[in-house]
Amino acid sequence: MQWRTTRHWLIIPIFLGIVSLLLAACGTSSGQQPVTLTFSSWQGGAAGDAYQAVIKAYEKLHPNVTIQYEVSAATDYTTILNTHFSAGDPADIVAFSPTSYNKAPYVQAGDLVDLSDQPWVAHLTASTKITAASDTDQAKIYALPTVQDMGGVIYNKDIFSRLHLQIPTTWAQFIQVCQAIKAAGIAPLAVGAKDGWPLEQFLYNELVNTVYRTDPTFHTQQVAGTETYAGSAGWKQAINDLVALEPYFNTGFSSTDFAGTTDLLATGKAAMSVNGDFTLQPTETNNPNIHLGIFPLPYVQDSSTKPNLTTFVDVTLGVSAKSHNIPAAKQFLQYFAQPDVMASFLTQRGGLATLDNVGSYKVDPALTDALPLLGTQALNEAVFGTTSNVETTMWKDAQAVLTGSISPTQMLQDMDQAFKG
Amino acid sequence: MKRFAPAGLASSMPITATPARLLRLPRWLPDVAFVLPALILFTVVVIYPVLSSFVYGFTDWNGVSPDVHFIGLRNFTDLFADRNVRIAFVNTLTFTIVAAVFQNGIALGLALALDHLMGWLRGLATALRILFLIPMLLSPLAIGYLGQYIFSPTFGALDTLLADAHLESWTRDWLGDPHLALGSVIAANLWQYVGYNMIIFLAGLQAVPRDLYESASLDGAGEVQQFWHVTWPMIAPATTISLILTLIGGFKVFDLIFAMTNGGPGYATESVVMRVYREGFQLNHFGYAAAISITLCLFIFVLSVALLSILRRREVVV
Repeated sequence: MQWRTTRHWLIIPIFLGIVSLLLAACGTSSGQQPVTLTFSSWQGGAAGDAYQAVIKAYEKLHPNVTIQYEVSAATDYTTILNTHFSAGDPADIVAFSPTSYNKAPYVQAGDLVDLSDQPWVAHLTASTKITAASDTDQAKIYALPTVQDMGGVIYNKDIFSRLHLQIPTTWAQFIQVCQAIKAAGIAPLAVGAKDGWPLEQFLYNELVNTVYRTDPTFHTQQVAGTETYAGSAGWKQAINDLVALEPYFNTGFSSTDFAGTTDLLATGKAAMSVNGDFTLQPTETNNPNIHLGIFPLPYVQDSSTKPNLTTFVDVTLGVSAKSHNIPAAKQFLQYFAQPDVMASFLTQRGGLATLDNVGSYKVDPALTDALPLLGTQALNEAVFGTTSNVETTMWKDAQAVLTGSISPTQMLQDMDQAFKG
Repeated sequence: MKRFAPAGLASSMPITATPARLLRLPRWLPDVAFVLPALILFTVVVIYPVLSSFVYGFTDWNGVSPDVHFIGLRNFTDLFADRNVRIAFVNTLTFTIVAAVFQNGIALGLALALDHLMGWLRGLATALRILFLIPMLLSPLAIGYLGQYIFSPTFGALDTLLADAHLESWTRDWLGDPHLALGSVIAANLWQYVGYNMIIFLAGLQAVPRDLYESASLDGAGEVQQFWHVTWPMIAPATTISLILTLIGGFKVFDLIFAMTNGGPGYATESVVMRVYREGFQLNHFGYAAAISITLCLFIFVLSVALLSILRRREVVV
């Protein structure tokens, strides 16, 4: 029949078309196969923009690669990580934080790729390697630390100059400075207790000068069950001393959040804030004429003991072992770790380098005085080994202690309970 | 079938009148067919998770791990000894009772005033009714952030107003003081929902037959007597609805507190639902969070049934 013959003739060009399409597809796969990588993080806003800039530059160099940067709310990030890993579909590149979103459980479960053979590993500094390595084996690297911050007392240089104040080097001097500032009608310390975590920053800046300075194995002993928060006189003293500083806090510190503290600093209504260097950027944005600096919280009794700053790696990037694009994900991290890329990223994001070969990048002038201290007077917050449960409990309980609702002992017992999970 | 053809028509055309009869489908099938999709969706999205939470309340599930163990009543015994859960229940009860009393009291007063105003200034009464309802149209989160601004001790409107009125000694850290924070949250909640309760009372008031007032007036009853012997019994159904809705809303309060104080300072304003959220989503104690939810659910159920039976007794059928 005629129609059947016509249909047979049509089959030949269709077949040829399919074959040529398949050949074209094979040709692509052997050369520039399209790759889509997912990148999970809690870093949005200005910090997120800095990561997006790196991604865009990488995509421009590798047109076959698309990287989807997926931002989740910081408060839900632990839940999201757990859900994705337990469901077996985590992102290809996953952001962790050494404290709040620790990679340790995923390393233990074999969910992350061992990155020890990557070229950038040789350039990790001593203080950042601890955050990149496995908790149990420092020789094995599972993440690329992208940025390091420092913490201490952020202070308004103009107020210090006007009141003829020197940078205190002991706790007694620090109290005297607070008294002098208060007498001048200015809040000595801007505290954003409503958010909870700024109180944790306060405690950490105390404890790097006591418990974890004298005994860096405190966390290891906790894990072994031979040490507890409630059993630590140093932890209890740190909380008591935080409470004793309450008269020097801004009015309404309990209902003030972090943004409120940067407003107080920017407007000169407060002179100091114990926090990370990420406080600088929003404060300077609010008041471009302000002159800020940072010094270690002098939580020491005599001036012969040099107080420590805190350092902390904000973000580390790991590669999921379940990823179908492990080589591509590793290649992206390798690109990120290149000295010029890292320098460009740090200039946009702010903060300090995590690798020793990073080219020159813009550092906030407020950090200049403190930079030389990083080698000798700084302790990385990774030594605390706190989990997300401990941190959440610490934030709420520190608020409750400051308002007199619970005792420091109760707070430490709650933290011990949270530490057990 | 009546739905497709009138009875008379159906009798004259017994077989061909309706498609259902053609297919010999049972009478209930079309009804079920219409209800079934929604029922399936409701079962999957609501009923199944609710029933699941009843099961998870007896486990140690962390929310993500497939490793789940039945631990009997341990979650329930633990929650009775948990200080934070106890505080959350006390806060929630305080919030609910104070809100129920003040919200309904003020709403009733406003409804009575508007009901009187309707008689001679209907336009103004309608405008006021809309005005009182506006806060209810806003999201509780928006109200929460607004409340945060009003009560802030640093740049807040309330303390600024007090200071401008030379009442500096009255200024407070309204949301940072554990003794004032819950009251401040209740005040914001009251401002948002009083209009809603007012509408319920107003509907009840407008349904009261006017001749009852005329009869009472002829019998010599004054305004107060008319209220106690006519209005109050006649608006009993509205009171029941308004109270029950306030109670349920109070027990499940979350978003307003989340925005205004995040449960703080410390645990001073943390509600039960907020505790459930923290245990489940922040501490990964899903089994325990489910147990708290079950306890709250039973608590609301018992209280609602008890209150309904009490309030129903005083309802009058006209």
